[in-house]
Amino acid sequence: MTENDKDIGLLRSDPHALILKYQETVKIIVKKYILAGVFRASDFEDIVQEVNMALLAKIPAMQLQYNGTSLFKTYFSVIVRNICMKEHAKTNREVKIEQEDITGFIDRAHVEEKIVLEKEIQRFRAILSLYYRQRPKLLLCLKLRYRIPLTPEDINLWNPKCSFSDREMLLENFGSNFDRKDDVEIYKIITPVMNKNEKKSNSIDAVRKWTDSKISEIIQLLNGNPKKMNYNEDTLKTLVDDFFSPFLLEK
Amino acid sequence: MIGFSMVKVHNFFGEDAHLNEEALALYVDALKLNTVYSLPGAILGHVDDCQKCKSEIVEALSLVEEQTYSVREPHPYFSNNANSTHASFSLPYRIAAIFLIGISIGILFSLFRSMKDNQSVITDSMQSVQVAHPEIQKSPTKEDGKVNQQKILADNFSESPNLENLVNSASRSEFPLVVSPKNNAVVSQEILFEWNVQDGGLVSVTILSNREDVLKNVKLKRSKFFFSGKLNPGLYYWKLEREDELLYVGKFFVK
Repeated sequence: MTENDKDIGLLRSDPHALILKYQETVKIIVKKYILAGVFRASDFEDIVQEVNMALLAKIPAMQLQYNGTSLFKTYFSVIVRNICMKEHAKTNREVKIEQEDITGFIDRAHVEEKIVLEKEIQRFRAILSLYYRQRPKLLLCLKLRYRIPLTPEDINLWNPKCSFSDREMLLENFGSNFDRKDDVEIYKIITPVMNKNEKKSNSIDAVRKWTDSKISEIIQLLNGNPKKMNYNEDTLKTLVDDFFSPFLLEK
Repeated sequence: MIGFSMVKVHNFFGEDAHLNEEALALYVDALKLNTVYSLPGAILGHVDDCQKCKSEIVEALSLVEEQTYSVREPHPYFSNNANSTHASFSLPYRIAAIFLIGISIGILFSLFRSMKDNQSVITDSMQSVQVAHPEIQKSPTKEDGKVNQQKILADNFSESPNLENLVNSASRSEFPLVVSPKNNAVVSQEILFEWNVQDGGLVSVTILSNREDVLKNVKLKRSKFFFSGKLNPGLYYWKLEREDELLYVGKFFVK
């Protein structure tokens, strides 16, 4: 019997025991929101209690709604998050981190810069995974925006049916360093090829705006809700460079 | 029914037409287990266009970042739907698809039979020529050179005897713990290769086809390699090496 099967069994037979089992998860999530400034550090115990009360009240709904499609531990985390957000909306006060003593909530092992960067890279990859149909075009546009040379594989992934002449033209213009090309030049070249692929007649400006909007979306997602980070177009480049660099030799 | 499984009907959307809590959790599971493209098409399509749901997923993912999600443990959705398509098809499409598949099979079958007949006629005539003129070497006919599409597909999945022996051999003194992909894993186009090797140093990662052709080779100091190239459906192998030492050989399938 897997751990998930045990959880499902407890949800049906002894939900109170299940909530007890997941107390550590509740505390971890509340701590994360304290670090994010959603709650005061001094309210930790109270918030945990509120979450538990809300979970107890939600047991019948969970028994009805949870149909075992996802892992229970993930579903439970989503529920706790929603409870925390409702609790935050009730009080609706922004917590100034510098006034709080949050030393007890910081995990020192995760403060190292390298670990933080690795985590951010993983978050960025996860965010890119959320773009399903748009992903090939998005990856191409990110490379163009951040002046990363295109490879034949990039073009193939974006448009397997790209004509030989278009492919050659794109590689000639973007296959090696193209730092000197400005955005207008880039979109002037790429827009007709994209229109051919998508059977549309978008203007150069429309394609540029599409790229801008996707980058804004990605930055918004990276910064979080509630906001925890301060990414912008420039700092996003670090993650984009890393994402496209798996073939580089380590020095 | 050929090619379609009975997909259990799940309700993934709330009254506000956004993903409900279980669907959000399922997406997070998919991200943790690297099975995003096995999600139902309805979920993928909605999230593709919905910033709100994307935000919810990203937040939920951050809450479980320290938790371990093992690909070895069966997943209630992904394990059961491993061989099913992630889009559900309506009845007319299914009937049309079966009709087209039937016609295609009929055409392939008659082509195959006619190739076989021609081949046996030519072989017989060649044999009689060879009997008369033993100095004449049997040369390939057009039919020999013609590629049977079904044979290609089967060939793409056939095992390499040399590499299979290496996959099954685990008697190395320093066996790295490979995190992903697990042997015989079925992966999508993007693959994360991850391992733990003691003592660091430069490690070489090589991806090979089942015909032992080298498709990609990189040398890395880090213990992860994200491959996003295009691989045709088939069986592939990958090797981890350090200097002259073979550390690991694994295999995976691309669907």
